[in-house]
Amino acid sequence: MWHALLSCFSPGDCRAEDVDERTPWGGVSICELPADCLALIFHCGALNPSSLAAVRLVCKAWRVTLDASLPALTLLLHSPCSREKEQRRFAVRKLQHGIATGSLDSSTSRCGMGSADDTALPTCSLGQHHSSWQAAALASQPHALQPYAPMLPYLRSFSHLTSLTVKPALNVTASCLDPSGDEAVAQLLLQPVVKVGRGGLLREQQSSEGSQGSRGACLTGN
Amino acid sequence: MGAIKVTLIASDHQSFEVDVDVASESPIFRERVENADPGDDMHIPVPSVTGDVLAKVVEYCQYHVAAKKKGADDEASKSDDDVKAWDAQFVNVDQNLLFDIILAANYLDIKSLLDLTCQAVAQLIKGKTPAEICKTFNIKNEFTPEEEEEIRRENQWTFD
Repeated sequence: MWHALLSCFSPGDCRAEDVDERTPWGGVSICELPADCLALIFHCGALNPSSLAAVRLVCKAWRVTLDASLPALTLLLHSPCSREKEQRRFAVRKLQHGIATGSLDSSTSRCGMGSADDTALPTCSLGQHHSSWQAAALASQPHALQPYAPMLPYLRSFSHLTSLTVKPALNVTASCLDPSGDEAVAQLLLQPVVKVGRGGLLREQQSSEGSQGSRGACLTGN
Repeated sequence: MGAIKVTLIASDHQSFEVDVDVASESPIFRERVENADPGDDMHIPVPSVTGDVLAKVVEYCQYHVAAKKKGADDEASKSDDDVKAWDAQFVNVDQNLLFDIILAANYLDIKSLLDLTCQAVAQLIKGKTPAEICKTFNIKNEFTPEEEEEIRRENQWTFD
């Protein structure tokens, strides 16, 4: 990956053996940093949604870089969640931790916050915002999202997700309220679709299969 | 017998003689060293990097190689806290130098240095409004009022 990066930065875009005639770096502005470095700043800097949103308003190149390297950002930024910021932030951290440590299980992810074993967690009422927090948490953790990439297009299409359950075995269950107000549930079995790489998704294969509805409309794979 | 030395030569001809394990923090240099024949000149030109930037890269690599030695050579072992404090001080430089170090770390493929410096830039972004970010990094707002309004609408929930 890093060798690939070496071919895409500027100025001084070159390998050690062919750099002799290039101008040395000096006094570059942040906008001149290679896209992969910007992506690294945005992703690994643990920027919160507010900062990411601010970055999107700064210049077009940053917005393009950010959106392209984090496909789910659209989901994050379009989330209808708009209240109880602290709880949302906490849920994001908790879910990120679960994802990062591999300790995310169905009960954890279903609760999102306020699980019985952690009294420090603020409790919150379940509702449409609950799932938005989880979606935001996933969206802010790009590596965690990679296996679920096929699902993202239609997560975006539902503005009233009521739950989003992610299991390490790559089962994803999403439920939402369809326009008529009925709850729709879909379970997707997803295979890993991307090779982990810094600064973006490298697609290898993509498949989603199986769907089932409980009541109301049924979500289907793309 | 002393450690094998490598001499790194910056674009402005400043040279830095370092132990081979320090140079090897960069896979680019390591490959160069590994592919060298016995008796080869161990001078490695780094013409894309100026001396002041290369000095910082060398400083970083030297410290971290020493830190990894865990108390060898009569040196006291460095704790994680020591290293973190040192890293924090290391990236406390002006923005231009910081960006140059990012470019150098990217080019030389020194992942830990790249992560550290990118994290430092992220810290400069955190908690700032778009206007403050523009001011901090001297960025010109390229959006039309209509475009800006549309993006603000998209992002509104994060600011509520």
